[in-house]
Amino acid sequence: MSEFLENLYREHRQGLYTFALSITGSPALAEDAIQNAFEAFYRRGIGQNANQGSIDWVPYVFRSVRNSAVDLCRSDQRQARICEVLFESFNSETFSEDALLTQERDELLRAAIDSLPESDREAVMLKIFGELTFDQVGKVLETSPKTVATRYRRALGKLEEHLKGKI
Amino acid sequence: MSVETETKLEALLKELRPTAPSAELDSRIQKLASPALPLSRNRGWKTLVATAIAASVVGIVIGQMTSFQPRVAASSASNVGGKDLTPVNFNPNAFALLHLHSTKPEYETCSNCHVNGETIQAFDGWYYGDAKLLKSHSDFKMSECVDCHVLAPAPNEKPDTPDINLHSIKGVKCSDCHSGANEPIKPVTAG
Repeated sequence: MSEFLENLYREHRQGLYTFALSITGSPALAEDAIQNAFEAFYRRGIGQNANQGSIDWVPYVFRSVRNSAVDLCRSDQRQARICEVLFESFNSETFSEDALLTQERDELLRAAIDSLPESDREAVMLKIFGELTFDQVGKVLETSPKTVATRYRRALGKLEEHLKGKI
Repeated sequence: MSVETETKLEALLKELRPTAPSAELDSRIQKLASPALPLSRNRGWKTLVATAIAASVVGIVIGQMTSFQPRVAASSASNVGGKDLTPVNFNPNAFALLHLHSTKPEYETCSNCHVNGETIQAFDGWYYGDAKLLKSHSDFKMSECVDCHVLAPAPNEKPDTPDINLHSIKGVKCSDCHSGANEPIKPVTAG
């Protein structure tokens, strides 16, 4: 694999995984999706051409992983509670009031993310955990940056409702 | 929502710790980088011969194909079935619609799907994008090969109107149905 692809993978490893996991709900399928996508890039010779440096490949990579994850999901049931696998459990060694409040808030936040419509959740996943711009997210989801921003803010609004009084 | 609340929510989300991919994924990706093992002598010449044969076949096929041509007239489509169906002049609308939504690498080899007028059936197992997208365009009869493709004229034939603008082709004029944001601007109905 080209250095170009290796760097892309290294730089977006976590973001790609979190995004794929938010679609599949299964760590194994998420990893398969990433592998399938990169295997396809390798076969297509992406990264071998000097001109490719001028293209923003990040949205393309995320979109390919998304397609691959969606495809894998067709033959496998998505897990009901995505957030159970998406985030590390909150483990506090202390039992202070603050720690308990943080734990409660995190659980609410996870439940809120779970309850988001898929299109809104994708916007949050790509923006927060993929660290993409609205423009890049638009390219991944094949929609305009304005639509992405709307979905993102709508999602934040719903999260806020779930967390009322906790932030 | 106030900017302050939005910022707080973003900070809270960033505090969540996403689970990390396994080291196994790293090694699986790493393996893709590994150069192929050197061929044994015995296998080497076979591979060379096979490659040469494949290259010859591809050369013959390419030689028989003329350059991609836009869909020029209904009469051109009447030849479907008689010759290979060749993709028309690179059409960003049709290409994006029918190809880029796929993660299948095979789409890059035209002959995997464009063999003759019947090949559209291959989409069933080939199309990897949003099924709704394919369905909505199928309803507009856009997944018929001849909506976007015509038989390339034989080398000694001249297309009827060689400089026709591809965007005038009704079947692939995206702006008929989509706004700039790629959202449908009118309901999708069959027929």
